[in-house]
Amino acid sequence: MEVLRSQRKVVGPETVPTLPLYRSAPQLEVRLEDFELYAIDRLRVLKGLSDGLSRGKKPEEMEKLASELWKTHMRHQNISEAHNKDIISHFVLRLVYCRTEDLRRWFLSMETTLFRYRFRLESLDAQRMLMSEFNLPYKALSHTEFESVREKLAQVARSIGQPIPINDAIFFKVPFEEVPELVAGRRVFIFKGYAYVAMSQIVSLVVTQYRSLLSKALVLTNRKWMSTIQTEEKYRLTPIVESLSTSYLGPDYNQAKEFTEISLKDIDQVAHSSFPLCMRHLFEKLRENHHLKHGGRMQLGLFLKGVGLNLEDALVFWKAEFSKKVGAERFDKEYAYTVRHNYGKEGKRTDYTPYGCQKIISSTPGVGDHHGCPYRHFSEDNLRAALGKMGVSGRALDDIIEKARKQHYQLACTLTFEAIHATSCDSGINHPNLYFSESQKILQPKQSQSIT
Amino acid sequence: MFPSSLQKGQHQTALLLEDKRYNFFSVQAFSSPLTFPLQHCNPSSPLLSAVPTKPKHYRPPVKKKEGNAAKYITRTKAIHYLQINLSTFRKLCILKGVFTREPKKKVDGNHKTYYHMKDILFHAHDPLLEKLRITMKKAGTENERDDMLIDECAPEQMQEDSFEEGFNVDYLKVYYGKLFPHAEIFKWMSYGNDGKHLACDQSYFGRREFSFTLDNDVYLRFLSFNSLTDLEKAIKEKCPFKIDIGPVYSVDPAKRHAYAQGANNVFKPVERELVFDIDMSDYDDVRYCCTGADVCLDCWPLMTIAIKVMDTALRDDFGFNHILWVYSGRRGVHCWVCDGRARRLTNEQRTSVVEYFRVYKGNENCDKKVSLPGQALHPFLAKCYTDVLKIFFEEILINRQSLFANEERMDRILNLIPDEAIISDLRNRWHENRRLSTSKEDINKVRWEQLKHLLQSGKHKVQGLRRCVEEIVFSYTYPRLDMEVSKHMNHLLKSPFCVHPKTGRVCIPIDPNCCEDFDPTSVPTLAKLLRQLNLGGPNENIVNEWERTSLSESVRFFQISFLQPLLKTCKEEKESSYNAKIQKSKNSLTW
Repeated sequence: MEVLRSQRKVVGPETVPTLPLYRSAPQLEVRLEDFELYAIDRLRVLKGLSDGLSRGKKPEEMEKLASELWKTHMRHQNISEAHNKDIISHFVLRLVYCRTEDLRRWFLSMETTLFRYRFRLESLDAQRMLMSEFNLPYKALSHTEFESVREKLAQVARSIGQPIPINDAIFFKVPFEEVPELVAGRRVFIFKGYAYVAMSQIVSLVVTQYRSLLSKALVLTNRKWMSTIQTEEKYRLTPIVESLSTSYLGPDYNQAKEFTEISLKDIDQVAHSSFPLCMRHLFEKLRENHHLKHGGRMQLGLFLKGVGLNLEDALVFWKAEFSKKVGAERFDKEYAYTVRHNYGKEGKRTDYTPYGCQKIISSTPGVGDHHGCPYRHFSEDNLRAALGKMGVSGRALDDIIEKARKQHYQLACTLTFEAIHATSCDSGINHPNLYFSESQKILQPKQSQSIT
Repeated sequence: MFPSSLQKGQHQTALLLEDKRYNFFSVQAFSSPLTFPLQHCNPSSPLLSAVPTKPKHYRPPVKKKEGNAAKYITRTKAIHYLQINLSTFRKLCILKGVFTREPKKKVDGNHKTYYHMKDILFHAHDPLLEKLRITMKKAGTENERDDMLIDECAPEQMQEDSFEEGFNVDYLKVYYGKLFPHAEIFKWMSYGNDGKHLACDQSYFGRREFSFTLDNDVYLRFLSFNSLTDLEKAIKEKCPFKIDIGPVYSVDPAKRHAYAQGANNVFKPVERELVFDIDMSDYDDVRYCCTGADVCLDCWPLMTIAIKVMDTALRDDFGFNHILWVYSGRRGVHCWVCDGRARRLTNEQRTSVVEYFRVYKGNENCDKKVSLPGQALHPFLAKCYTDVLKIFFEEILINRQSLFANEERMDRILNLIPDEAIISDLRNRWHENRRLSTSKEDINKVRWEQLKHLLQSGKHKVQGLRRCVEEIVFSYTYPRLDMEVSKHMNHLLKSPFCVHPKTGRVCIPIDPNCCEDFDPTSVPTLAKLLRQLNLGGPNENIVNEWERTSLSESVRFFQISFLQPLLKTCKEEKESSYNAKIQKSKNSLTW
């Protein structure tokens, strides 16, 4: 792909209406303005999808969201032009998001999501054509084979609420490794290492293939970027690429900036006023049991780090609690390491970032665990009680419970914030540390007024 | 004059080493001659009179005056020399930083630990030593004798009574020296790559990460060994409390830093068995006999269920064949799936497999932990419900755990039912039949039948109630996996045949075909094994020492039922892949 300055000379391929697989970069010439504009448009789509995912939207809602986003941002009068825009923007972003592991992961998961929903919108024939493009070696199940497992297939279909397969239903027999998400959801019948995938589920199979292709391509692009492009394009593309990648990921709350530090003595007071429910619950359980399991320690520990608790104070804080149960010596031996590890002082020395809402919501707390998102993992009664303890009641409480029931966990959290602080929060809560900083922003001036 | 005084000093050393009752004076007298030769020389000594003249020829020293025999001292001798006991000696070594040495020639035997003579001499008049001696005397003299005896005596000479139950470093040393099946572990971890076949990857075993937990919680990670002898030597030398096995990396894990310099970090795990860890402590809300790390025969059936459910599913559904179940030494079981296909799964695929098994959800703040929506159960869940869970729940767990015995336990079960009317109905009925004097054994069963009858009696066809009986059975019996262990390739897991440091039990394999018979309280313990080793006299026919003990059953099971079929498959895989390669290269040649 060549980039030209302000010249329009696009030689597009013959119109291909189906979903492109982005196998190789097209030999197109693109204006520098378009280069950036297209990329920003696509980024808007990906960002929208990412928000949708973190809100915990269901697949049907996501499908709608994806098609809407695509229509608003990626449409073009000319069909072939729209196709080009699709391809160009993809390759630009590939360049932008190939440079670090985090960027790659985000891009990979969002592009895969986009591909999935676009694939589902395609017609059956188009889907089959795409499948053949991947050169998948799997043949549809023969009639005799189908009969032999028919009963089981029907059972699976009933368990996930799908129509029971009829005689001419098409099933593919593939190794279970190829369809991890279907296996994880127990949505396929598995026998002797083979999963029986229905035609309606084929999207998972294709997406896995797409994902692995893209993942490999990203690593290759990164290598190329490092070795040649970065220096060759130092003045032309590099600035664009670098600004694009930083603009949309949002802050990671690695270092607390606005409120430099909190000290140990007012941590209780701050916890009471400004911690979101998930952290408050962990904090109270820690004070109560003098112990938290690993998941809880990670979630709360990193949050406190983001809030501005420095390493020395963190060690004192955890030690004070844990030594009541396991003794100071055992704390030094077994737990202090993890605290230092979180602050990047041990082992791999990575400075870990606090968990975002998406990660917390998707976590899977087990027996004895207190971490996770209360709006998702609490039973309704417990949630009601916990919110009551925070001082939420009446209409607000019912609204929150309603949102949580509908799986809008972050909206429920935002409502809680609004109910407690009696203000509106337009931006929404998508990070526990955001909740904290917003809360401090509101509370701090009040405090300073009351002091003076 | 120097050489002669030196000789005198050496003479004294010899005396010291032979005489068992060293006194303090002689120790000082010995160590000083090099620095202050004159103070200790007796002018009338015939030796000294000859000093001015140089010796005409080199006089070969007497035995043990020179070389390794004079430079190094074994631990027992060092302890005798310093007149302390073993534990005090250990303390001294830690406090003063005295390390063991590896002499080129181990004069007193290969299995002993050696110290440099100079180190010992240097600390012989340390003021700290005097303090340690005093505390040692206060601590009582009874243990002292035992410690000294166990230290380096061959186990055959030990008295039978001296093997106390539990865990002890010295026992462990004997265990690693004589009983631990090093060769079997090596064979397993090599997966047929130790052979002569051309397709064998000789570096395979060397890229496997091992990690040792030593005494005092010192943790050594990223160890790697090139051969069986390396592995065996390291285990015997370090005597680890716990051996963990990690993944096979792309490069030798011991040299990972050398590879980390490049832009792309090539050091990453490439192969790892699919492992599962099931801990009894995760079942605390459904067992009433013990909590936490304790297990007994009343709650062990939960583990049996887990083994049965997982083993069948891994074999039938996922098509794996080489599955090893191991008792974890205290409260749970580990599972190693060793098929080539399983070893090469990516992290994402591993996650999908554990998710497939996960039914139990929710944390402490959620009453209902199992929910089974949908019109029907997935065939896998339906099968394990009818084949295993239902039978175990009704025949064993209801009675053994007395699930309906008192108010609190009943409430816990009633909480799982979403319908208020049924709850109050059941509560009344159960309240009534408490007065009826049915025997204790029956009451659980009667109450369960009542509950089942009420929920399944067709009257209540409400959505959500349909699955309620199943949900109760699932929450009380279905395996609860520690998911994090299985999800990532680089998670470490304790090696089979380790000894659990708290219980002294050996982590032996469990036969999944008769896991009902497995009894965690009767597995071989360290002390038991040493006692057996002690009893049996020398037998010419025996190749391995473990054959004399009750460990033989386990090792043999490991060899015959797990290792041999596994290695056979590995060999076939190797050959077929090699032939395919040859074929390919041939084709490309003709083309």
